[in-house]
Amino acid sequence: MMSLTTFTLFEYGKKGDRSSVEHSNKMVSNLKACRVGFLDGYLKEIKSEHKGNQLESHISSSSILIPIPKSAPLLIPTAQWPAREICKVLLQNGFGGDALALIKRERAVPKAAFQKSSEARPSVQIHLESLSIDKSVKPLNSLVEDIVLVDDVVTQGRTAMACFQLIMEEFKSASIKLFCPFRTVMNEIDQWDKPKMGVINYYESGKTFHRIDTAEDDFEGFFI
Amino acid sequence: MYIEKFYSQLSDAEKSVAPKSLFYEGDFELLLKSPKVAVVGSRDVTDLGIKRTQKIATELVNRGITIVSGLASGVDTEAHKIGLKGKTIAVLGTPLSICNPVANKNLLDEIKLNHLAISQFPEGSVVHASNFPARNKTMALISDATIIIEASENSGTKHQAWEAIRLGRQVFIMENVLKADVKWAAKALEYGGMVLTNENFDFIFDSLIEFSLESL
Repeated sequence: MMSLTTFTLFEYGKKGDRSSVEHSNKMVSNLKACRVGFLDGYLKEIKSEHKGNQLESHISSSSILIPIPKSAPLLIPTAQWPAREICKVLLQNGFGGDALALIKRERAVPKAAFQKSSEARPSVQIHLESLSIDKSVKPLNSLVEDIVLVDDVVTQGRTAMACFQLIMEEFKSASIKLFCPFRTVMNEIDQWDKPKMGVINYYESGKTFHRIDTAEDDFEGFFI
Repeated sequence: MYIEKFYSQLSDAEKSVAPKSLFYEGDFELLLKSPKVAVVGSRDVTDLGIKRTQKIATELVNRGITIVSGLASGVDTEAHKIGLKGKTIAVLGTPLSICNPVANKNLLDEIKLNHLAISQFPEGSVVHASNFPARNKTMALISDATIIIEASENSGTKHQAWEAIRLGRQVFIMENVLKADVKWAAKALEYGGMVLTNENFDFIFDSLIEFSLESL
């Protein structure tokens, strides 16, 4: 079984306290449009109030941040790409040492948000077949030790798992983790601001499971 | 103040393509609220295209989604007419005081009175052909998504589709456009555009309500 450690800040979902649900939806929409001001403010706050220790241990000052590609290739290099913007904001706030857009999407895959069922969402294998390492970005240095994949929202973790496998092939000895501001939750949201560690497991059956560590050790996650 | 609020909520990439000025008549709050979906297409729309526009626009209005369009003949006009039953924003390729086409003057007056008309072109400026693709790009910017009802190879709608894709907005292309073998529309699918069909529109429109842009 393959595992990828995750760190997320906020909850995103459809159920629960109405104002929390609406607020988390608005934040996700803004993030998807690369309007990252709220995230910048949040990171500054946790830095100044010394609440960012957990995040700092997940993303060290030497971590290489790698944005996870969107579901379709970029039309032009400057096209909006939320994960790349999140990397910039992280770096501006002292999280990570550099950002490299090492992974590119070669072919579009169906956008998960508009699929009715989890079965209709692209599998890890489909993602893998549509992704590649962009050798033009920078000569790959196999000595890179600490890599953090970055995306906007993690739900089932299939895209992240595909990127993890791709990067692992290139940097066999590196530690690879995932950071997403948001995690999708199925349970009710009572408070959107809830930083949590977690892990995405990838089973031989091809299924992924995002397990979120909870203080009460509740079983919370997605089994697909 | 309203306009400043609109600009302040944009990302850096959005600011770089946003019109330098924006003039308006009507309820500017509509621009700050979401969801907003652009419904656009050919001026020379077919009878079936009119029915499709009416159906799509009605489904959007019923969900409380604001209809954005360009006040042109054809698809735009039909989209605005349905939009009057809910909320609609006209994005003009002319200064606000000019109505193009003239036949839509009453429609524009109604939109200015109870909805919103915006233009990036100052009063007294000359109306160039290039205004209209520029207007299409502004529509892409202010909308959460764009739906293309009918289009041809040289349709101005393609400027809007590409701009929306660059900005990371969702572009939905009706099946009939692809069946008509419009090459740019097929190409747009390779960059994240989606085909809108009788089978998927219901679910997609429900999803759009969740993914709407509003300032925090």
